[in-house]
Amino acid sequence: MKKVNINFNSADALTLSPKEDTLYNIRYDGSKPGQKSLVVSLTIPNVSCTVYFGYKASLGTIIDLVTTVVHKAPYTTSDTEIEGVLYDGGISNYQGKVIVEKTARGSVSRLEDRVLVVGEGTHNHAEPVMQIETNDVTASHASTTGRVDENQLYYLQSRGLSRDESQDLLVDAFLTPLGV
Amino acid sequence: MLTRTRGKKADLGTYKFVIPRHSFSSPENYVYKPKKGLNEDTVLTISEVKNEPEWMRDFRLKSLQIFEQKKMPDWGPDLSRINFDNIYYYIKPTEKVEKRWEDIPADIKNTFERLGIPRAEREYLAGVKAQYESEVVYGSLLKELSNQGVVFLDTDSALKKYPKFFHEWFGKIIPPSDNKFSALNSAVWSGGTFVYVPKGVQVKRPLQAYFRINAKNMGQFERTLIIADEGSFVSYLEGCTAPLYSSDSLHAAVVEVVVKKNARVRYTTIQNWSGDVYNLVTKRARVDAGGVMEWVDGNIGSKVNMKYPSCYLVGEGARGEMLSIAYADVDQHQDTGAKMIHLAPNTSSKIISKSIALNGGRTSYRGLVQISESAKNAKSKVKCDALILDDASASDTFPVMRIDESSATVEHEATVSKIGEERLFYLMSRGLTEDEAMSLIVNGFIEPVVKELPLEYAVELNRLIELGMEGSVG
Repeated sequence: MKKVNINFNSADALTLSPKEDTLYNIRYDGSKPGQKSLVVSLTIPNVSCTVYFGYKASLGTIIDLVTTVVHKAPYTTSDTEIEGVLYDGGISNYQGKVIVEKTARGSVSRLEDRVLVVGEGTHNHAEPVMQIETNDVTASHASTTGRVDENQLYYLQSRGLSRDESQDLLVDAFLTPLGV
Repeated sequence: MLTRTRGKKADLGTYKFVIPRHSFSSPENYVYKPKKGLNEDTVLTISEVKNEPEWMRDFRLKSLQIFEQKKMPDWGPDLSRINFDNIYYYIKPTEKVEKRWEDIPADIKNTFERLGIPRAEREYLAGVKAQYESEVVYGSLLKELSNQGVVFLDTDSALKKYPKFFHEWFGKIIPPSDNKFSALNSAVWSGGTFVYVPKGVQVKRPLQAYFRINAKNMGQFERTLIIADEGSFVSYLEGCTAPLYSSDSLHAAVVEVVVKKNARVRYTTIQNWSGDVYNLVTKRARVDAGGVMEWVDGNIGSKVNMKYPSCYLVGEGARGEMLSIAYADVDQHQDTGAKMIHLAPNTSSKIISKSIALNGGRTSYRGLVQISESAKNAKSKVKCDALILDDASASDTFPVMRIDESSATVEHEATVSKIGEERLFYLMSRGLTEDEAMSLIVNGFIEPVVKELPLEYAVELNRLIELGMEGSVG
């Protein structure tokens, strides 16, 4: 599988149409304001596409992200994982769309959007939309919002790390998907 | 057609005409039937015929203005074919609410009996309210309930007998300005059920209402208000079936539920309108501290169904639950979901939604989970699963999550799939036909919701789905 690293800080819009099985590892630190749009278009049969998208937002940062995954060709696979960390005052607006068109029979699609809340006064708005026009498909999405696990923090602190260090470590682990 | 002018007393002579018999429909036989269409006169007539207090008449007129100003929703299913001028806004089947089964007119009785509804259930259920057309014609209530102080009445009578509750809560949970159809209902509402459960009273058996549409081009605008006082419990059931007609009908109900401190209310609906009904219903509950509101919702019928029961969790530790099934067959669009609005600390909510699309039907889940800034440690879990049985059918999911509180935990998951070949193969290898195997799998798929239904409803639902699935393999 081809691997591509992308820094999304400078661009506003990005369209990916992989020709072969590809893994995109996208990072965004929220430093440039405005809406970010990511489009994944699967037009070649049997191609599989994995997207890992990680962002961090702290006070004054507004993440405004729209992702659209369109399955046009049959037997395509998409796996989109959005991982966000919200520090004090961080704001995230996320709209994730998955469209499986009538022509895309046998497709498999997964969208996961996970937000880790580290600070206070955060706002997390998420809209994961699925539009499925054919029956021969497996599509799923999942979305979670939660805090850093207190038990994990406690464990790391018991091994001699400070609370901040423990938290940073857990945030890094959260943002680093397996196999990247 | 009977017509009348404003200001004069209505002539309540029996008016009768016979329409060709389709399926279950009985000849229309109505005491009073105003003209089609909606304007100030229609509203005043309804209010006058019902002999309502002035404030209710003004409420209706104000609602009509709001209705005229409001735009149709610009999202969701296509509603452009609704013609508000081609609908009867009020029909009164008999002059008064019937108390004894023997007094109910034979043709109305017939229709109920062909559907196999209340007689057998009468002894089983605490009270039966059957809404035939716009008014409750049959009501019975066990003595033990009234001894406990429980009020179970049609909304029109309750307005006269218990004005205090109406001043306090009517239109407060769902104001007319909420949406175009709640405004419409507020202007022309008729019938529906009123329930009041006093402090600490546990109603052991479910209260049931049965709704039907039977007149062509008839709108049903029933209005239900349920108030569960502190620490009480009540389970309310409603089911709908309707005979098949070729032209479009509109059903726009408003259901308001007040769940006071530590009370629990369960509201169960099985909706099986005929394939030409637009079912556009607003249902909402306000839940105080420690209270629990449970919606159980089965949507099988109608042409277009838009229904998103919601819970406003206003008190600490309040809980909202939604269990729903949507079943979309040929030419049907089931656009259903739930809204959970967390406004207080330690509130929790759960939404489980199951949908099945076949023969070109479309199911949509549309939901909202909102956690406001004051809702510390709020928790919400949403799970939607959709089955698409053939390639002519489709399914959408539109969940919205607005989490403005950092200590909240919110989970959402959704899946869309077809019936696995290997499961079908396995069941067929054990001797089942493909039809049988399919309906067995579908029954298993909706089981988490069906098991929450009372037995007779569960049986009815399974039977309806089996009927719908017959010959759907191909």
